[in-house]
Amino acid sequence: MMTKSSDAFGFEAIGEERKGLDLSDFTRSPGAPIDRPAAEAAREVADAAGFQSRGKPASPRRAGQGRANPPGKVKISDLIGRPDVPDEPRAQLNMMAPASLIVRFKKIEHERGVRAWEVLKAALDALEGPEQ
Amino acid sequence: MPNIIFANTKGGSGKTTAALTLTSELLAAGAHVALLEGDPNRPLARWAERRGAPVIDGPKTRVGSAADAAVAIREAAGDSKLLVITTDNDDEAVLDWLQAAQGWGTFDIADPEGSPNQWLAQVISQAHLVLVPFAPTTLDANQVARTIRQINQTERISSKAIPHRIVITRANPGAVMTRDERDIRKSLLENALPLMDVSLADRPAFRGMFKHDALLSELTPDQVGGLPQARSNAAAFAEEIIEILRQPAAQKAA
Repeated sequence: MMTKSSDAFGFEAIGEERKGLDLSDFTRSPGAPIDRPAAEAAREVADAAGFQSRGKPASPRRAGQGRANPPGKVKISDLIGRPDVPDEPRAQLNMMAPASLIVRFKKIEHERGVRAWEVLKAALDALEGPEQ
Repeated sequence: MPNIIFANTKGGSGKTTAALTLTSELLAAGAHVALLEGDPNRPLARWAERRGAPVIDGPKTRVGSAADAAVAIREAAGDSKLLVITTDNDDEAVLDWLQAAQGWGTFDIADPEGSPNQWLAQVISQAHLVLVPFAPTTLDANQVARTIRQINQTERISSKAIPHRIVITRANPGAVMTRDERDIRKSLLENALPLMDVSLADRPAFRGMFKHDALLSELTPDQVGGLPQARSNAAAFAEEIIEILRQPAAQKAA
């Protein structure tokens, strides 16, 4: 004798077995901090691949037409020679270097969880010696 | 809270539909979902607004830090289980919003604009899972390769694994695959590229979520056809994603 079935084919029981998504492993919790070295790495890769900064679509430049600096960024050529270079604006430095050196650089950046410019700053500080 | 991004450098690959399908399943299962929208056309924000769900206009809500963003999220979200944050025009602030969103919801789902852009790259770098939606045509295949290269190179330079899967979208809803889909699947598998088992079929019910400002679970048979098949497809899609997120690689990521 069948104990329970309002469905002649027994499909009802199969439907009951389907509980839907089990999200018990996922709870609301304080977010992890952003992985800044990974974000910096992604930016470099994307820059090299020609990815655009959103909201600043590339427009064709005519010969001789300069490009305005994005907000908060300056060209180093505009600052060299000035005695009072401020810390606030950002400038971009692209360079080719031996691959082994870049690997060392990236290793330090990743292991210490600092940004690329902070590694550069530490190296320059070390080269220039303690401030007087 | 896992960060999931639907990433493809080409538009029209089914990113937004796939993101909303997953969102719909997660909300129906009781999760809190933060949708981070990068597309300046804002289809998700418009969908949410029409439903009366909270939307934060990122460019108008200037934040200087993740802490600022967290305050804005708490104020906007209230008791809602769904929150949409639009961040178009700002690939600097997106990481602040992302960090703050992680502290609010059970899942964070990012939907970038379908173009090669820095917003996409930044969010990929923080993802527990990158899903690369892919309408199976030869034209789209090249852009999938570009997106996968971005992920692989970011992994190499940051020495960090970024779990990712390709998901075929707009698949033939019938039992028979198109020749393009069959050939592309074969090529992906031969090249050991990670492909989700479940594809999302091209079904009116998925488009119906936008048309009727609804979750899949709220749609009715008189609104859209093929609803049982769409629900079954969406459930299998979400289950596979949850299973991937349970794997150690995704747990360790980000």
